[in-house]
Amino acid sequence: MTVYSKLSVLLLSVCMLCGIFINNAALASKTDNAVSLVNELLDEVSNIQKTEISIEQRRTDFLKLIYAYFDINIIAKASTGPYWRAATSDEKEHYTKLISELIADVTSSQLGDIDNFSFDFQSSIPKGDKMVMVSGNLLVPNQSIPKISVKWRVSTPDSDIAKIIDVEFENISMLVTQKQENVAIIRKNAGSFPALIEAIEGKLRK
Amino acid sequence: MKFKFMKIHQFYLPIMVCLGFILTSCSGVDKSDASFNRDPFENTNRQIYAFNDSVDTLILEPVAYGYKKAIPQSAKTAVANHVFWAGLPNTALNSGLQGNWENAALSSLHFSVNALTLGLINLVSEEEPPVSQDFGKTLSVYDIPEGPYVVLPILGGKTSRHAFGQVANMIVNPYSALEEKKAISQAVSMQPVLSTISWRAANFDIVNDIKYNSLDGYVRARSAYYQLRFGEMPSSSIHKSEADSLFDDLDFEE
Repeated sequence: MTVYSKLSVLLLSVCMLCGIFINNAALASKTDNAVSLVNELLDEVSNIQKTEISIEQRRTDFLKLIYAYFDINIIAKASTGPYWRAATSDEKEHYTKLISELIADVTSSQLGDIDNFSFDFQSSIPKGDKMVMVSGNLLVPNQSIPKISVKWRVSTPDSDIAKIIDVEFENISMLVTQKQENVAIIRKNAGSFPALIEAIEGKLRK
Repeated sequence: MKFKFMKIHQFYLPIMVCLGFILTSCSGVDKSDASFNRDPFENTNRQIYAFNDSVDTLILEPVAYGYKKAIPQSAKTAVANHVFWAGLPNTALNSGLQGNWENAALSSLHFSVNALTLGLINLVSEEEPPVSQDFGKTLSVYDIPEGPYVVLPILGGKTSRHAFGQVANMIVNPYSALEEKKAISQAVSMQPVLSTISWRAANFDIVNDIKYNSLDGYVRARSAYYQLRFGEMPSSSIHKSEADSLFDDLDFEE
């Protein structure tokens, strides 16, 4: 083997090692970002819950959090399954706004007056290149179910971007459940996307 | 010691035969569109769901609300402990049938030790308590198909395999076969009522969210059931959940 080919092999090995190192560093950065995002969100939720405000104000505050911490475009797309492609851009835009309001509405009503909770972090595992699963337990003292297993699916398309796309409570994915409800409504109305929009508007008016 | 196995057997036999028929007749369900093909009796199921919903609104919800508000947390914990303890013989039996000897031994130990307090107080300080097992899960270990989704009056929606397993649990539970020991026998007869109220109170907000906040309560209840049940299955760690499949198929870029 000549000096030239030895140098080539050495250079190739160094490049491969650098590649592995950079890839691992990017993955580590994505998982760290995902965990930070979840912790920041929970801090914000805790602050809202501890403040004495009206239900309407609480709902508005949650809506702001949803726009800041959740990838609402992916949620809108995933929650309508195959019917997303057939919807017009106006319908897509309107639905995206409505689903954000629905999530804010449901979250504020589900959390009710719970103001004392903590998140016991368990793990953060990359799921492919673009997603990280953050798992842990939500500890709620003085409640009938004091420990709830929660998994957060965080979309991480780049190492500096992280947004939540789904939350699982005790293995029940909010997105899967919403998608199945949405698809059932669209099917019941012969594939009409506007029927889904109307149903959500009706629910939000109640 | 007299066993009342035959009496129970005669009562549940027709139910088991019907469920067995449903289970076997629908074993070839196409899984390409799982959430819908799983539910071929949707129209009938929706009617029974509406009936169950009314029973819940009129009876169970107010009783569970009263139980939740009036009973101290320590008493509710004791009842939940008792309900869990009463199911341990079944867990031990099914764990054995599944070849999970560790869980079988652990549940037998918990049952024997906590029998001193009828299960009201947990005297075993284990970090990981035994995992509840039932005949439905055992049947899944033997690759029996889950069958179609059926909503039963009062008992609610479940796969026909799960429903079949639940009836089998009632028959086989060695604890329920004892007739001589009156205290235990009376405690057994209270089980379904106690466990239903305790469960409804513990999941009060979740069930109410399905009833009052959903776009389609029936679909949400069915979806939650399937996901929850999947997570409880012994084979859940080797199969993809519905959420995993959803994100596998999703195009993030578009």
